[in-house]
Formats: sequence, C-alpha cells, structure tokens
Amino acid sequence: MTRTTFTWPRIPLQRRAAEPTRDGRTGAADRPAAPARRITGATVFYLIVTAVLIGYTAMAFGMDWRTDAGRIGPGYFPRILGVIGVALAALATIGSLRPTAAGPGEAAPRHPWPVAATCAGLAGFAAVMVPVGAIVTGALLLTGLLLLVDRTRPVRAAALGIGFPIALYVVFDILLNAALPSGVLPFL
Amino acid sequence: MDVFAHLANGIASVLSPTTLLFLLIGVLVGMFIGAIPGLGPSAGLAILLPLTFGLDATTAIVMLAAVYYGAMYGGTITSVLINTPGDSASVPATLEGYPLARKGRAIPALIIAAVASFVAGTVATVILTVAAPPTARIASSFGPPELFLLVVIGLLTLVVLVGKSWKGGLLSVVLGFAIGTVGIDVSGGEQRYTFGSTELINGVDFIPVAIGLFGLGEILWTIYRGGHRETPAEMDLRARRGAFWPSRQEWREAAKPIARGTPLGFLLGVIPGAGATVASLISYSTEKALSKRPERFGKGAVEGLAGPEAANNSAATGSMVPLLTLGIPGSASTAVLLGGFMMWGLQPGPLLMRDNPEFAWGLIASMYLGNVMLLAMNVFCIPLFAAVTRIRFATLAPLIILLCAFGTFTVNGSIVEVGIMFGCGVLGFCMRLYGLSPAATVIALVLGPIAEETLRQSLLLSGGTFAVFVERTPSLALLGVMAVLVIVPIAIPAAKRALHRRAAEREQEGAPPLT
Amino acid sequence: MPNTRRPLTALTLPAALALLAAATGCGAGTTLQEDPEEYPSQNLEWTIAFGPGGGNDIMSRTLVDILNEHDLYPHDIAVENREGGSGATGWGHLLSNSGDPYVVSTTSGSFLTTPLQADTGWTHADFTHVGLLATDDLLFLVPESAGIADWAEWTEHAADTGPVAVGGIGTVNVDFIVQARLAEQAGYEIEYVPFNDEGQLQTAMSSGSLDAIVSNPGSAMGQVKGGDITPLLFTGKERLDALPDVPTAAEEGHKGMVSMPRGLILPPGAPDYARDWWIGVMRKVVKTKEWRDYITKNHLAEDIRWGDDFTAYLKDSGDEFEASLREQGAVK
Repeated sequence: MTRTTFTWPRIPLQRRAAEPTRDGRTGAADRPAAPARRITGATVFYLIVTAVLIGYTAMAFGMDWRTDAGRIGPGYFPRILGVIGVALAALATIGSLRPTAAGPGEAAPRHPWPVAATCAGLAGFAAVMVPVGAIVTGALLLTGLLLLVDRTRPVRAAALGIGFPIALYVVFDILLNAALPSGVLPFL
Repeated sequence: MDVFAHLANGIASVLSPTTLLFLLIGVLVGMFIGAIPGLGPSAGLAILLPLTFGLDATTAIVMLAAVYYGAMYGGTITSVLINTPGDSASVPATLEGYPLARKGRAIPALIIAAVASFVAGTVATVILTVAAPPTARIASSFGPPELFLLVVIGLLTLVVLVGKSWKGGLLSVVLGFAIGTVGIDVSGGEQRYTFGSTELINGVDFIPVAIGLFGLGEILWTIYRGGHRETPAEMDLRARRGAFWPSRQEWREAAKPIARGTPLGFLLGVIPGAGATVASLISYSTEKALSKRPERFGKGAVEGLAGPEAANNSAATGSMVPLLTLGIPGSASTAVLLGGFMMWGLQPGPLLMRDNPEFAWGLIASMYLGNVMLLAMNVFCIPLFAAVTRIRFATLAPLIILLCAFGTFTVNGSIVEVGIMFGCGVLGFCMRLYGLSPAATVIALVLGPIAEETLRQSLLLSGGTFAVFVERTPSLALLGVMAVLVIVPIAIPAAKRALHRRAAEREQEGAPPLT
Repeated sequence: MPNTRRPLTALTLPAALALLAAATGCGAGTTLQEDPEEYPSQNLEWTIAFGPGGGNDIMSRTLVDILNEHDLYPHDIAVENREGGSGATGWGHLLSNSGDPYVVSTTSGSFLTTPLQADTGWTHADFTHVGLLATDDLLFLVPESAGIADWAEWTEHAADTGPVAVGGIGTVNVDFIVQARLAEQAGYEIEYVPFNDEGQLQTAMSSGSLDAIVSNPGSAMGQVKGGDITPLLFTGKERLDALPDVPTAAEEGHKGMVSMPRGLILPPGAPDYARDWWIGVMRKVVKTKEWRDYITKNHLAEDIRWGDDFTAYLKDSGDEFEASLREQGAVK
C-alpha cells in the first residue's frame, strides 16, 4: 500500500530537526485529537527537498542559459527544472502543514527506529567497505541487520551473517570475476 | 526461399553438441546474473564478454546472446519478487509484477512474464528473420529530431503512470530530470553538479538509483510498516495461497497485451537510443487506457505485466536488427555485443550477413533455441526462485540489502554508486511514505538526458528553429502518435464523465445551468 | 518503539571504524624493494580504463593474449576493467599504485582529454611511459546519397551551402578538434553537433540530419564497405591499407590532425628497470603475427615510439589538444 500518510510520520532523525520543543517520545501517544497546524515528517521531507532544489537552482543560475553561439546552454534546463521544482516542493511543504483527517488507519503500527538504524548501518557500510573489505563489512552489516529485526536467534544471525557474505564473495569475485574489495583479510 | 536456406544452415551450425552446451550455459548464467539485483543484461554481458575471448566466434555469440536473453528473463524475477528492475525497460513490469507477488501470485506472475517473453521473443525473431533489412531502414531514418519526439512520447506516458496526484507526480519527474543533469554536458563539455568528482562526470547511472528507489525503498517501507514482525505463519499463508499456473482469467487478460506489445516493442527496439524503454512505457499506458478497470493498475494488473514484458523482450530482439544489418548498436547491451564482434575479428556492418552468414544466421537460429530453452527452464526454476517469497521478511530483507550492495558495487567497482543506491533507498522510502512516484523519477532519469541531448542536437542542426520537428516524414508520424497519446486518454474519460454528468444533471434539474 | 533497545548496528560501527584504522595504518606499503634482476617476479595486474568490448579493451586483451601465448610474461596476468569517469577511474587506480611495477594500463584519447575536462588528480605526464604502439585515426565520412565523391567536391559543397552540420563523439575530444581544424583550413563553416555514442552518430547521418561525420575506421568500415557511406579523407599519416583510394589529410594539405594514442603505461614513479623490461618485451610483441593481425583488422596506424619518445609525443599531443580545445572554447 502506498497511501500517503501526512500526519504521523515522525521519523526520529527528522523529529530532532522539526520539533525541538516537543518531547513526544513515541509519536503515537501524544498526538492531540485534532491538531490545527503541525509540523510532520512530510513537512520536514518537503523542506529538505525544497532546500536541495534551491541549491540546485542557485547552481543552475551559475551556468549559461545560452551558448556563445546563441544555442541552448548547459544551464537552460537546470534553471527551468530548478524553478519548477522549487515551486512544487514549496507547495507540497505548505500542503503538508494542512491538517488532514487522521483516520483510524493511522493506528497501524509504525517502526521508525529500525528504519533509522538500518539507514545508519548502510551509511557505515558505504563508508568503510572499500578499506575494510566486502566480507568483513558485509558480515558486520548483515549480522547487525538480522539482529536488529529479530533478536531471538543470535546464533543463526551470526552464522547467516558470516556465511552469506562469504558465499556472495565467492559468487561475484571468483565465479563472475567481478571484483569486490578484499580489504583487511590477508588471505584473499 | 533464400532466407529459410540461410536459417536452416544457421540452425545446423548451432546444433553441434558444443554450441548447444554453450547455449545452455549461456541461458543459465544469464538467468542467474539477471536475477542478481544490479546486474542487468548489459552488465552481465560486460562481465562475460572477456571470458569468450579466444572462443570460436559463432559459439561465443551464441553464448552471449543466450546470456542477453537469459538476463532479461532473470531480471523479471527480481522485478516481480523483490521490486528491483534490472533495466529501465522493465520498470513498468515491476509496477504490476511486485503487487501480484505480494498478493501471493508470484509464481503465476512469473509464468505469465516468461510466456510473454517467450512469445514476444519468438515472434520478434521471426520478424527479424524475414524482414531485417526493411526494418533497418526505420532505424536509419531516426535522427536527433525523431529521437527527441520519441522520448517525449515516452515522457508523456508518465502522465498515465503517476495517475491522479499530478503535483506529486510532476515533482517526482522533476527530481528524476534533476538527477539526470548530473555529469558532463555532452553538448558543451561543461561539468554540471559533479562537485569535481570524477565518479560523477559520466552522470548518475540508472542501476543504483533504481535499486535504491525500488528495492531498498520497498524494504525500508516494509520495515516501517512492521513487516519484520510478521510471523512466518502469516507469510506462509500468503505464499501458499498462490497456485502454480495462472488462472484462465489471467491468461485471458494477458493474451491481448502480449499481442499488442510484441510488434510495438520490435518496431521501437529497432530504433537506437531509447527504443525499449519507450516501448514498454507505451505498452503499459496503452493497456491501462484500454482496460475496462484501470483502477486495478498499480495493484497487480496482469495486463500491465504481460504487455510491457512482451514489448521489452521483443525490443531486445528488435535491437539486433541495426546491429546485424548496419553494425550500429542500439542499446548498452548490443554495444557490448558489437565490441564482441570486433573482438572475434568480425567486421560489423551491412556486409556481415553476406560475408559471415554462418555467424549471423547462427545467432538468429540461437535466438529461437534460446527462447525455447528459457521458457522450459523458467517453468522449472520459477518455483525455486519463488521460494524466496516463503522466507520470512525479517531474514530475507537483510540478505537482499547486502546482495543489492554487492551487486551495485561490482557493476563499476564504485563505492560512490553504492552510496547513491543507499541515498536513493532513503529517498524512495520517503517517496512511498508521502505518495510520490519513484517510477516516474527513474523513467525521467533515463529519458531526461536523452531528451535534452537530442533537443539540443536538433536545434544545432536546424539553426535554432523548431521547424525541424515538422519538416521530416518520420517526425510528422511521431507527432501524430503523440497527439493520439495525449488526446485519447484525456478525451475518452472526460467525454464519459461529461456524458454522465449531463445525464445526471438532466435528471435532477431538468435543464442544466450554463456556467 | 522504546528507546532502550538500542540497535546492534550502532555498536558494530565503532568496531568497523577501529578495523578501518588498522587497515589504513598498515596496508599502504605496496612498493617492495626488489632486485632489478629479478623483475618480473610477481603476478601482473592489467588495468583497462574502459568497459569490455571497447577499442581500449580489445587492444589490452590482444596484448595479454600475445604475452601469454608467447610466454613473454613469466607469471600470471590478471586483467581488470575499471571503467568510469572517461578513464579517470582506471588510470586513477594506477595513480594510487604509484611506484608499483606490477600494474600496467593502456592509453587512448581520453588519457589526454579527461584531465582537461575534470579534476582527475593526474595528467598524462604523471605516468611512466613505456611505449606508443599505434594510433587510432579518423575517417571523414559523408552519406553515399549526398553524391559527393572526393574531398574537393566536399569543400566546394560545404563552402557553397553555408554552415554544414557535422558530427562526432563528444566535445572535448579528437573528433571536435579534427572537424574544427578541417573546416578552418579548408575555409567552410560548420555547426558541430556532439554525440554520446557511435550508434546515434551514424544514424543521425543516415537519417539525413548530418552532412558529414568523423569516425574511427574500426566502427565505420562495415558501412563504408557496404557502400552506404563514402569516406573522403583519413587523418592518419599514411593511407589505410583497406582503403587505398582515400587520401590522407596531409595529402590534401591539412595539418594538425590529432589522433588517439594507443600505448602502454606504468604507474607514476615506476622504477626504470621495469620500464626497460617492458620496452624490451613490447619490442617483441609488435613483431608477432597476432599483433600485425590486430593492427590490420582494427585499421590502426602503426606508430612505434619507446620511452622518452613516447613521453615527448604525449607532451606534444597534449599541448596540441589543450591549445586547440581552448581556442574552440571547449575547455576553459
């Protein structure tokens, strides 16, 4: 289901930026019955998109609209896209401030923490994969993720977490001859 | 007939045990590679091409062509099972295939896709056999103005894709276009949004963005909804509900879209550049427009899977036409094959079929055999692949994330692309959360740069006037198609609505007030 | 969800960072001291800065095949395509292996042009130059339907019709320089239309959008032989064996035609003994039948320059590229 949910989404990462004064802990508990105007995750998302697009547009205006020969320049489309994009994103930001009827469907369980933790894990993975190597980083990420979603079977998580990256490494690096970084493991 | 004599020779040259073995290896490896997120047909070919260095040319091309088709079949598996398209042409199939899988119809969906691919691949090969030279003329009449119009047609179909929330849809498209402007501007040589990074000078690749927006975004979304807490029992129930064979109803829904998608895909696939992507987009939007119940689209409509899948596969065969008859590569995959031709010491060009008939016809013959093998293997292997739907999400999701990360890395050996993939995963998650359209973003990313490049080329050619788009016959024909595409989907529902409204109003008030 | 259950990923990160620190601390030294007499004593890493199937890839694989076939390299050779950033990634890999005599790569036009265009961190001058083996030159082509038979007819036609639309691959590239120089020297005006790939370039001409294009003989020869397109000029030093009737640019009085250098390089600061060893081996390679076949089949022009001669050649070509592109306004 891809339904838009305008009211709930307060992903922890975003809550810090959006609601420094509120101390709502779990998001669902402290929701007022009928909020007038409230900053939600959607607002934060659209604000970020707007900011990025403003930056994009600013850079576009540093590029030529036309070439010396009077043809379409490199900045032509970026400027058009930037202006339209900023307008749309700003509209969406304003739209997201409007209170929408929080139906009973909102009561569905939401799990922002695992999402945030997964994202953090991915960021760490991207940062250290090349120097540390595919197997070690992959094993750390996989074990971590497996434990994150299911803490009841740590042994299985560890076994799968170590075995699967090794299997993948064999498939990619040896069978397909597509290099993955070997990193700190000296014997690869 | 001459053609059939050639074809018979071709089949004879393929029917040696060694060649058949390589054909079988090719389809197996291709399917396997295609089923790895990140490795689509072109990456698969690029990885395997070096291994054929030193093989006999006919054996090598038979194997590589098999890899090419196998990877396309395999790509469907990832599209349907884990929502990760292998190339831009399979995005529309993902839109319906994945919802079908979630409804417990994974195996039937894959079988329909395989049959669609088989029918389209075989029919397209027949067209290739009998009509390659005349269709090559279509390819060679496509200059920058025509390509531009074709891409615009593809972009117009996005209107159908994003549906009602036009603001969100447009924002999604703009985001895709914006990502597409990263890299060196071909027309001027200037760097845009690269921030000095050499990794970005050739732009942002489709693969990491698509894996992020679709596959990873979907996983994050499912975690967010608590999918990792689902007990195996619930999952089991959902997976077991599905039968093996598609229902008669589903076959009936699939038949006509396949019949329409096949010729469409072949014709557009012949055109170098964006043929396959545009073909499958047009097929998708046509099926949605023709459907009596368009509201099912996006929720697992069989027509929306079968049509684009057929178009996509027959486009792959269509792109063989300029390769074989003119020596011109029409897509990333055929460019790698062309490199193979040179590597094996063959001279691609109009004389290839005359000078190396055993090679060219061997290739064509292998397409028939390869398609049959793929269909047979798919029917056997689909239940195996579909078994992943029975794995608990909590176990499966981390495995897929790692597979996506490694797959993305190996394509270009670039950690930046892995980073882009992760970033797009977060973006895709937010887009799902707030009702934007990741599919529109991905399509815009692929078509945007081609549109910009061809428009600027066209205006260079014309000295700056837009008259170039109405001066040539192919352009005019495309403009006609465009008009139909714009008018029909808007006009028909509008007319229907107007009729309804008028009828309703007349009933209520007698005379409708004019405003 | 309760905050007390901290995800384990947060704990594994510091561990990973510690590993990273350990890795960078001890893994840097790649250059081992070895007796020059012993060279080569290890496996070789052959980096291809482009994807499989391209001109650079085919040359590299041919070379490796010859080295293996004739037992010219006593250990294993691992070939790896490191494509990306128009060569920036692959040659950047050599840069990060500075001083290592067991990494080699081959050059192409981007070796000179990519640093002009992007901040690569290297230029052609940084590397250890083993030798130039051949150059890849361009054919000037018009569609057969235009009815133009030779260069004189073309220049006349082009001068009469006003700006002609000509195409090539890219802007910061050999193709643009050649088109601009030819037009300037022959006295006609052009509108240069850059393309991203060969397929679209060739169909643009066959569709009647472009009046003329330049293309490498390897990719155009099929259509030339098929009679669809007419070659008018070749930018190499000598006429092509396959097209003996097509004059060179020099014969028609045109100067300053640049070409793509196909040569062999080692990382920056590679020891002299390694360079000398490779020069010795490549001297043998260029005499093999397989290499001669490769040159003929791909329509390259043999141009052999070893060591310092190659360095001088790269410097001249590089300066030429830069000056010409600056003059045309393609780089700033």
